[in-house]
Amino acid sequence: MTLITRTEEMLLLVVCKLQADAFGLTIREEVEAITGKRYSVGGIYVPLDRLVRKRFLTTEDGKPTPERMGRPRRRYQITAEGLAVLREARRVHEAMWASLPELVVQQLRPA
Amino acid sequence: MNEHPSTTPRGPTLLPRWAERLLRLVIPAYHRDIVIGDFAELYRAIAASQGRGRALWWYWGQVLKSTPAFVSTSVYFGGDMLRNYLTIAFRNLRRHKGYAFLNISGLALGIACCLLILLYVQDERAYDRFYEQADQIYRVAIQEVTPTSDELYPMTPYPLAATLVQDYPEVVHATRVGQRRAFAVVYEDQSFNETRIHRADSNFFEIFALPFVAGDPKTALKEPSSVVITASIAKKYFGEDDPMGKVLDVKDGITSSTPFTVTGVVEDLPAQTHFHFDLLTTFFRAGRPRRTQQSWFGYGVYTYLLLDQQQPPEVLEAKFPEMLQRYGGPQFEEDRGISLDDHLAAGNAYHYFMQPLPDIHLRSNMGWEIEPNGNITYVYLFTAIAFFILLIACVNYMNLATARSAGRAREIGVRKVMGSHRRQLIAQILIESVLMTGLAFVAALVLVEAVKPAFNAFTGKALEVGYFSTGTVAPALLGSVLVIGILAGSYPAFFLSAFRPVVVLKGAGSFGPSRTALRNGLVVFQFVISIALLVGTFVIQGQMDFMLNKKLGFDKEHVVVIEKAWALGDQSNVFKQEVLKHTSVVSVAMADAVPGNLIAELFMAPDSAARSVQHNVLVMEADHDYVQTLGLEMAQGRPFDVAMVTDSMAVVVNEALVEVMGLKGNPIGQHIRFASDDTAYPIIGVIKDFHFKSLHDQIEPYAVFIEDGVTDRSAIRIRSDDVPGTLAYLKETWETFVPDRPFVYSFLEQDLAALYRAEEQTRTIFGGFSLLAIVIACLGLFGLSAFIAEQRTKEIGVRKVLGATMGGIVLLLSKDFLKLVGLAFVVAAPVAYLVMDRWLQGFAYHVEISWRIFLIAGLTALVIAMLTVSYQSIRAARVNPVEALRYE
Repeated sequence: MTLITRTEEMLLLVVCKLQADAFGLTIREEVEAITGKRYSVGGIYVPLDRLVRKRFLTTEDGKPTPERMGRPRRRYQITAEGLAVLREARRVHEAMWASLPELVVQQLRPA
Repeated sequence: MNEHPSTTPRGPTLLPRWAERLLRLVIPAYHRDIVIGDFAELYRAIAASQGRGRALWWYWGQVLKSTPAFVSTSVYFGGDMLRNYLTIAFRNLRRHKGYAFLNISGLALGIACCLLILLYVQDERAYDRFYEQADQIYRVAIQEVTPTSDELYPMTPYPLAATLVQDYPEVVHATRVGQRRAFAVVYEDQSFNETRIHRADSNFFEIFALPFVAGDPKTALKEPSSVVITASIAKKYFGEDDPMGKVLDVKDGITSSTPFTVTGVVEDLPAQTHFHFDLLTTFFRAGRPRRTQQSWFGYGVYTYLLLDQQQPPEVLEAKFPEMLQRYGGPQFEEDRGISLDDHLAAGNAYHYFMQPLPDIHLRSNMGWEIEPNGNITYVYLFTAIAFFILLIACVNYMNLATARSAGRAREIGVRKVMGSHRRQLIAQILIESVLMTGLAFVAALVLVEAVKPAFNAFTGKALEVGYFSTGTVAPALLGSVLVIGILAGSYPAFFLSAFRPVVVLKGAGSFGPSRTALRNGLVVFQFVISIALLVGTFVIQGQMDFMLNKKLGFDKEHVVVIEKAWALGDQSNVFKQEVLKHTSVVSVAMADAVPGNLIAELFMAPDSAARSVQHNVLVMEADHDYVQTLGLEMAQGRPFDVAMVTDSMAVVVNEALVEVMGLKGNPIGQHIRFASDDTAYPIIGVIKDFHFKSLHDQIEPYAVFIEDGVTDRSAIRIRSDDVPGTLAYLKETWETFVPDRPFVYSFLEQDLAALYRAEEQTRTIFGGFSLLAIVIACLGLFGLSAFIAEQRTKEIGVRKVLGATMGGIVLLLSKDFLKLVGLAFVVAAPVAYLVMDRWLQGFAYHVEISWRIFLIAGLTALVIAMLTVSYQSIRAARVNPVEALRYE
């Protein structure tokens, strides 16, 4: 069983959500829109690259475009292993939440 | 959502070329293109919608914010490379142990010396800054100018403080501080001689917010006869008992004493303040009339102000002349019979000014300072020297590293052939130098810890490297490792990585004349600094010898000075006779002061002169044995005579007074008087000029009046045969007269030497520095000569085969270096001359810089350099040519 961090979970989910649009910049915007956490332009790649190294994501560089001064974009895609750890994370979550006593569940209900 | 890519770009919205190049430089290869693309895209969008200025702002902000990410990525993905760099670096260190040792020890010495000096400088600069309102606190000082003199006083008139608070709303508080005359402080059966006992107004702690252990700072000095003591004094007198409310007896008169009640205890004052007290009493004593002196022309107290934050101090300073006119004007006219205006118009001035509290320690060096202060010039000087030493050490590194390029050329060549980028080679070499610097830093810290006790004893400070006490020290140290490492490694890195593989692998050297020129330049630079420091050391040494041995106009040897002799009161004459009974006592004088002491400077004038004429004169009182006891010589007339009753209204002066006052003809019998007084005193004798003050100052007009009663000191000339016995006798006699007052004595010669303590310190520091500079420079020279010799192995072999002698070869190898030292001398000599000449101008009496000093300094450097180089040269010259030539 591999447990991933919240940041990793968040990024994997964002990549899943954006599907074909999962580029560094769009991921950065999406993360900010949902969580309010702001990565710098270079900073977003640090956790993404780690996920790549852990084989939860793969990359594919696109075609250079003039508006990027002849540089390609890098698209991120989730791998089977990535899906597996997400599944695992979800299972753990739900198991933990489900095991709470009723009283605590009441307290944790959204206001 | 202003970062959306815009589809309709307006105007020039491309990321500028330089910006792109910078990104290319800092972003790790792994995702360089992708991130630059992101930058370009966003920049373009922002520039299109908000303009280029905004976009540039954004660009810089993002570069800064992304920096940690760039670093962490390059470590994360470059980890293997980094490890490889380190491995290679360590291997190189191990393979060239001697070279590494030379390099690291040179750097370590430089860094250690730099650290110590920085500690010292930081400590000096931190004086008085711990007071909460330090930047609002000022001390008032006065510059008093007459047509013939210009004196600075840190002390002020008594009424100043009250006047300032009353008339000037920007002065929040003003407090007076003065010395309290005290012989001993007594509690029950314990009696101590306290020197740091002062008195202050009740609002002292409003200005100087010192932390109280007991008592209330607001009320502690309200009641007369109260005293606030420090924690260690409380412990000294009362042990573990509660000091509050206890009564300390302060012996402040010949027979009298005053009880002071302890109303507060403060924590011990930190070392870094210009004013320490152990006991701080109220200004007034209970049950005594409050004699408040109203004179605006007598300076007896220090005045400290707490200024309103809104007001710049210059505004208040500008109001001082008017204040003096208003309060001092009428007084002056009454005392002196002429108006203050006329007096000022005659070229006199009383210029009041304010000193910011944190500046006092380093920038105020007047007579009558509460404690001896530091000197900002020396702080600057030492900082500069520390910087130079570090520079020498860095230069050493560069020199040795480039000199070694012969050995490394092959390595670089192979690496390049195998596909190494220049960037990687630079990184490799930089990492090596950072590693060396790191090791040198560790060695330097060990060194600092080792010499710290000696350094502290020498400077009289308690310096500590607060590694973790503030959050900045450890990062600063690490940062310096990086900066120095990169600085020292930068030149070798670019130099070595530029080798062309084909050339170096073919075996041809790549040591063009320009390389040698630079290296030689660095050696010259090192020796310029070394020689300049040597000259400095010799000049200071010469001046010290001069000051300690100069004929001062009196005989300073074998004179014992007893302090606080006023305790003897009307018994002083009996005491004197008793002391004279000892066979080793030559003569005894009772006097206010001996040379080296601070004495009052008062205004005097020839009796015939106009009321506005005044001359600054050192004035003191002594009995008729003074001239004889000090061994002063008379130029004209006679000293005071017991037999002459009229001498009590006469005066003995020095030659300088006669000259400054312009007394024509025979001075004997002419009259002089105090500027504010009508009584005229006839001159009965003129003493040959002698140095009452230190040799920093010109000989000033001096006048001595007779006083057969109570004086501050007693000067006793003794024979040198049995000094301990004589001292014991003096102490015994003293104690039979005044049993409850400690016997405090000193030797005149030592007191005078203490006047030059600052110079003494400077000499030691200069000496140490020049030694260090030479050692470091020689370490470099040693390494350099080794490499040159190695490089010329074949040449030496051929020369030997062809019949060259050993001497010839040693000369061949050494003469290049010696030329460099010679060149360095030519550069250093004039610089050193100019600097040291200016230093000497600070002394009214000083030596001239002789050519011999330059000769000695130059020869010293030359001989040391020769010894260093010759070791390698001789070794190279002794090698059997077969060994050298078989190499091929």
